[in-house]
Amino acid sequence: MSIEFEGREVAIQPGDSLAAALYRDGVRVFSRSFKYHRPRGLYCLSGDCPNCLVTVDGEVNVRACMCAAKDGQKVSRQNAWPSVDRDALNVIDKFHPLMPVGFYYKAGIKPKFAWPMAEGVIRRVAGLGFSDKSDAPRDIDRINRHPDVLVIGAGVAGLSAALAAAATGKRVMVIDEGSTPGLRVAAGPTKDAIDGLAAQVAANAGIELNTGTSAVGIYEGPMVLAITAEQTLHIHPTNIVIASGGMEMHRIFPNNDLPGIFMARGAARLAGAHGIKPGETAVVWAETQEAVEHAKTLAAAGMTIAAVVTGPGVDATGVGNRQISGEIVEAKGRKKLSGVVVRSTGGSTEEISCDILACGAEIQQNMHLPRLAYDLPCVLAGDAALPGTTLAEAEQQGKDAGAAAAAGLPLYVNPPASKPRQCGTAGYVCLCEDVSVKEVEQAIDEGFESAELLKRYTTVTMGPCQGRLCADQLRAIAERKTPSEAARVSAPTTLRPPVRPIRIEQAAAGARHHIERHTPLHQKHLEMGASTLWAGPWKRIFSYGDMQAEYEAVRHRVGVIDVGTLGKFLLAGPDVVEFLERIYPMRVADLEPGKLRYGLMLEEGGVIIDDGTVCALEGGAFYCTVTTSGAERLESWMLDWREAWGLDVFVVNQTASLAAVNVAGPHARDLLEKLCDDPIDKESFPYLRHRRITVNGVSCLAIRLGFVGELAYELHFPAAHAVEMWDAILEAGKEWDIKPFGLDAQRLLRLEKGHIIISQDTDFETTPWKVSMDWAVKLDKPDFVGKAALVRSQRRTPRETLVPWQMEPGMATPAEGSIVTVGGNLNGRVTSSKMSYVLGHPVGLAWVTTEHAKAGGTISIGGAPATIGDHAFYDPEGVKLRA
Amino acid sequence: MSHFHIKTPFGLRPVSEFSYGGEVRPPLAPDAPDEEAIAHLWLRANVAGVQKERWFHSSGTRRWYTIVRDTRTNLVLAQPGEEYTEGAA
Repeated sequence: MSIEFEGREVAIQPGDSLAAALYRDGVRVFSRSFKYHRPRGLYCLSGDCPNCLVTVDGEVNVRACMCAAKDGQKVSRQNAWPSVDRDALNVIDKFHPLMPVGFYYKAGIKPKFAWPMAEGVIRRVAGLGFSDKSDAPRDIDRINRHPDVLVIGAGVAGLSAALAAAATGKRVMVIDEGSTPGLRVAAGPTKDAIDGLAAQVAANAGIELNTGTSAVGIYEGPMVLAITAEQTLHIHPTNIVIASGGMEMHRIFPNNDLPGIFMARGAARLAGAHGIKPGETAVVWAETQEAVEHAKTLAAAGMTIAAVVTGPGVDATGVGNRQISGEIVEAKGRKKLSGVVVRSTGGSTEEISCDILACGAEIQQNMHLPRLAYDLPCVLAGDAALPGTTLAEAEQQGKDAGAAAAAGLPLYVNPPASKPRQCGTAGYVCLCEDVSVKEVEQAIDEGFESAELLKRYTTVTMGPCQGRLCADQLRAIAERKTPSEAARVSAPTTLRPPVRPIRIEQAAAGARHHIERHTPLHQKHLEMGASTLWAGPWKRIFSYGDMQAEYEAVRHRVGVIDVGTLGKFLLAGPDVVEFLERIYPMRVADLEPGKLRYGLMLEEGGVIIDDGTVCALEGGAFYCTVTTSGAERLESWMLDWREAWGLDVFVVNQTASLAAVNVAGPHARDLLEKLCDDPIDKESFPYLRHRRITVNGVSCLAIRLGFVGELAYELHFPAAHAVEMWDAILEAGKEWDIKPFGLDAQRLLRLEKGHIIISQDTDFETTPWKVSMDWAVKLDKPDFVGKAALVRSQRRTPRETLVPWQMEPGMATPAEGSIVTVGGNLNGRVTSSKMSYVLGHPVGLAWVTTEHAKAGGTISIGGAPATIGDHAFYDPEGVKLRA
Repeated sequence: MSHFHIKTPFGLRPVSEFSYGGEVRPPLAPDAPDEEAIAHLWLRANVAGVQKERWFHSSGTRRWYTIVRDTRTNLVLAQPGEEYTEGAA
């Protein structure tokens, strides 16, 4: 098995991470630093530092140490020219003084013209990988999970916590970043303990272990955001156990970023878990007793331990060639480590040659997640990761945390902010953003004296590591410069999710999970070659390919349109009349059964939000339709008002349970008479009436309406009969060459009648006055939604009015949205515009100032003259629709 | 990303299933003076603190729920049907 690394094959072994496989192959420089292109090698091997970010199969900034190596992967390093091994851009490292901290802010001022050019260069030179912009974004699934207890971290404490919680009968979910618990732990008692616990967890049906899953944020709820390669998880536990362990602190000294310098746990991981000998000669800086164990691991891998440099209280007797009580004060080397300078406790310094330095600095608990969980039901699994904690203690802490979480006891303790014991006076504070101690101190001299300000100005803590390495060091430097103001200048900076870098796709997971609603006829339409468009959550039919043929069928013969997307509501109950009187601005109380009325819906400001019809049914119930896109919103709107008024009324949403088709055209009656035995002639079933009739054996509520301006019957019936009804209508209509028609044809048909479409022709300040619909408002009613505002607005003439307009035959149809001018001055805009086939000239609707909204007046649309009308252009008397 | 849960007859449901209905406000009297009416229509308290508010369970029970929430922490201080007493949480 092998991976392809920059054009050559690199063998991989089972259990390898990419970092391990490449290191075994001899790769030492994994990346070039962000600004100065300094060579960087493996450092933490736990996903915490930015040094091993590589591009894998086109995906940039993958942490090589956390990515399991798979056969055939293509891996390359990034941010270097011509190559990471020989990076010519490293020349920038020689010009530190020319690129001071805050360089962007300072250099960006003058001369102005030079900045865009400089920015282009900087963007190419600085930074990490380049993402492949040609690649379409992948849809990442968003999954909701609801365990009782969520345990973050599958170490000794985490697994113990999971077992303890599961023992009480709770459903437990464990997530861990690694691919297998304990995979990166060197052989030894800790590894044995984890293996033993993992076996128990695997055998426990109440525990689900999710590996390769990183928790990146904790939110109120509580809700934990976690990511895998394929999914974004929203986990909603009742209680959380955080057992995310700890890491060795980043140590700062001159050249602390040279390849060959490892965190002690990282070096031990290579040697102990992957069986790779990291180098020939090592110096181990053991500030903890744990690091002495790591020195043994390195020795067991065949390395010469030149010296163990011990901190206070650490006993390294018998480990390594020498033991020196002291500290590392400098690293030597140009492109890789060649030696270290040790200062003993006595004060003497000496240089020791080595190719590996393992820094076993003090352990800091991983506080990113706990700090996000402040105030939430969350249990921190103690200080299991801290030095001096025995395995037995860690296990007990885990058990206690698991039991507490299962019992729902929040044991949350506001975590203390840690501070490094030691922080050198030179070297790199921030490996991600390439910021040295000197630069931070310079920024303090410039007045950015507190950690919060330094963070923003220098960008320390803002890189991929999210402050894991540098946040506490930054605070230590701030405090060192202004010790008298320690409390203020070195307060911990605000921590925000995500605590691990995530891809935009992962953050946007679920954002493209659109609800796409179809009527029961959708498949029929597609089979007929229909094109679709969005209308709210619905996919509606735009056209079946020949809009003019569809239009002609309705105007001259007969057509049928699927209007099943209309919002359809059944309203009933003792207070239904009172309710509708308050919902609609027109009168409802006097509507007799069998009759119907057009109704606007207004919000409290008197602005039109929807329109539709109200049918009074036998027995005191009402059937109301609203527009396609309004159905969802208006249901909640009506229910809200029902509660506000305390009225006893039922609102039943029948939008999905009923299908609806509109049969329209001069032969509509002839067609239905073939399918229906009930009387539907002009006298027994006139315009603006509704009847229950049986069509093709199905009981339908038939409504006579005139949106398209022809004789029309709108049939509402159970959705299960939709397909057979549709087929029967098309079959019966063959003798008149019936055509199904889409929205495109419908929009022209209604425009010729001057009918408006809410939200196409109206906007967020359209009152009935502005669209000349005074007839649809009865201000003498006691009250309705929007009445007070309408009364108020009636005191003033509206500034603009919606008017129908037409142009002379032969003129080009203006685009919708065109501006309207009068006398050369901007006056309004066109909301609807189409070429009328029956009239032979363009018609439309437009907003114009009220003073110019006079029938017969002339306006100019895109430079062409148009005449304002005062009624429908087609069949102004409405003879056809009353036929 | 803010997150919390609202209690419905079907248990606690994540807020992503709901749509926001705004702060609970007293109804506008029909004879209210213009200033009051304008404020009612266009101004919201937008408190940084405890707020009584409405949520519509659009992807679920399709009912309205009234809760008391601290807008700073997103902690729900009173679920539907519960009384909110100041300082209780």
